[in-house]
Amino acid sequence: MGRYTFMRGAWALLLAGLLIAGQSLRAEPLVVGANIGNVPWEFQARDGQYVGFEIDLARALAEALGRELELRNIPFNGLFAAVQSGRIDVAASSISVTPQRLGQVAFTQPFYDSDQSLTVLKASPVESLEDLKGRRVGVDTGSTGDIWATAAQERYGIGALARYEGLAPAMLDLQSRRIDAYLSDIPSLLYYAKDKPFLRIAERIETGERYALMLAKDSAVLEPLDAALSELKRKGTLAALHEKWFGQAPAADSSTVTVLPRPKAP
Amino acid sequence: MLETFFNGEVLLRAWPLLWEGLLLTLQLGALSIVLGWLGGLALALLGLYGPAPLRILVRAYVDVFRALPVLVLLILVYYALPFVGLSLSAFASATLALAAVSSAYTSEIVRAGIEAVPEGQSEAGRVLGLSFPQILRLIVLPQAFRLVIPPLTGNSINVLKDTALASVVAMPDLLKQATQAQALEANPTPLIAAAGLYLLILLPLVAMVRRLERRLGRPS
Repeated sequence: MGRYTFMRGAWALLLAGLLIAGQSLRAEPLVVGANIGNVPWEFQARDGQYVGFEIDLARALAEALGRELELRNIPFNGLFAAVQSGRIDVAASSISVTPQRLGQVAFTQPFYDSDQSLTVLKASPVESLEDLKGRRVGVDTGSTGDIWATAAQERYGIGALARYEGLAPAMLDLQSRRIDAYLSDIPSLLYYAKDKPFLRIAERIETGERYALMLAKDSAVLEPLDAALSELKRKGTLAALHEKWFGQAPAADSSTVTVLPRPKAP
Repeated sequence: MLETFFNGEVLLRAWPLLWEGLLLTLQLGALSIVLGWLGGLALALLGLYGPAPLRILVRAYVDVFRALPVLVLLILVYYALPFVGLSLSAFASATLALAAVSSAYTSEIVRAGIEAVPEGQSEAGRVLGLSFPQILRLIVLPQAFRLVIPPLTGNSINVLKDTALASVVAMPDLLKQATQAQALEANPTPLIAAAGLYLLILLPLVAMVRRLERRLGRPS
């Protein structure tokens, strides 16, 4: 009798231990921060759901890692501090890899080749960068467009730069003519201008930048995430996402379909 | 940790941006504060001594602008007014919004100050044969100002702090410059530096209010 009680107690203890272990083993969700409103990468559909190329990508990556996905809306310029402070695991917001950023944060391999673009109102006299003399140009705070425009301000005689927290407020100011042009990543603007006949993309500015997912320097997720990204490229998932969001297949030698090494800090 | 949040190299590179932002924040703050004082004084006098319909309008203005969040007002002025043909610059929009709200608060402070001057003082002035403007200028306002200096300074500190809201309308104030530098460097040091600069300006002002309250608040 005493022996039975002892055995039962032992079993109960073992079971409880397994349950507790199971709880802690069940993976924490993968927290991904994104600047919601950055079409077509991450934005809110009419029903309030977050959708977009990078939302689909984050979902596929979380699934490959066997973790739940948790999305957080964070403005672009706040993403850097968010990964560094560990508030989010991964930042996805069409973030270009730059040497400057590599000194402070880590990136997965790139998955999209991009350029900058100059967007104006249809009736605007601005036809190219050469027409920006003395004009006001909008950019996104701290973006590669901001970096490019700041460096090129003197060369093109740009009157002033206005810095925004994303596409929507900049477009309001373009329409109320507080700015004459908006300089930002071309895929977003192509997508945004598609159903807006009052907008015109005056020039493609070739910068050869590449988007990647951004993490903290010492992140433990970096390697498994990068490996999962390689796998998604091989399986054709990324090519399918490109088809879905841009209506065409990616170029054969683009970073969207080619498995690449992770960018290293200079 | 130190490398990430207190990076000296990053601070050195971000300094010119932060300095420009600081100057703009001080300009915006100073202009809004002075306009708020002038507007508030005018509102207080109209609200106390103006004709009845004007008094009601002043009351309505003061209540509405004390109830409206500054950020909401700023966004209305900046993004909504262009649709009715009035497109103000970011600086003008921010000044207008901050001064409009500050003048509502200032008017309440000044009104309380004037009402705290005993009625007997004005009566004495009338007995001496002084005109109404003279009574106001020579007797009531000097005593009222003594009383309102501490709360007025406190309100001005709030205006100076609220200038940070202007960063949402693409105005390169201190906070905006700090977030830009932070994004360019991919490092939060500029934000910490901006917080330090705000403290550097505002802490002495806060200490001053405390001293003034102790010196002037005491009944003489």
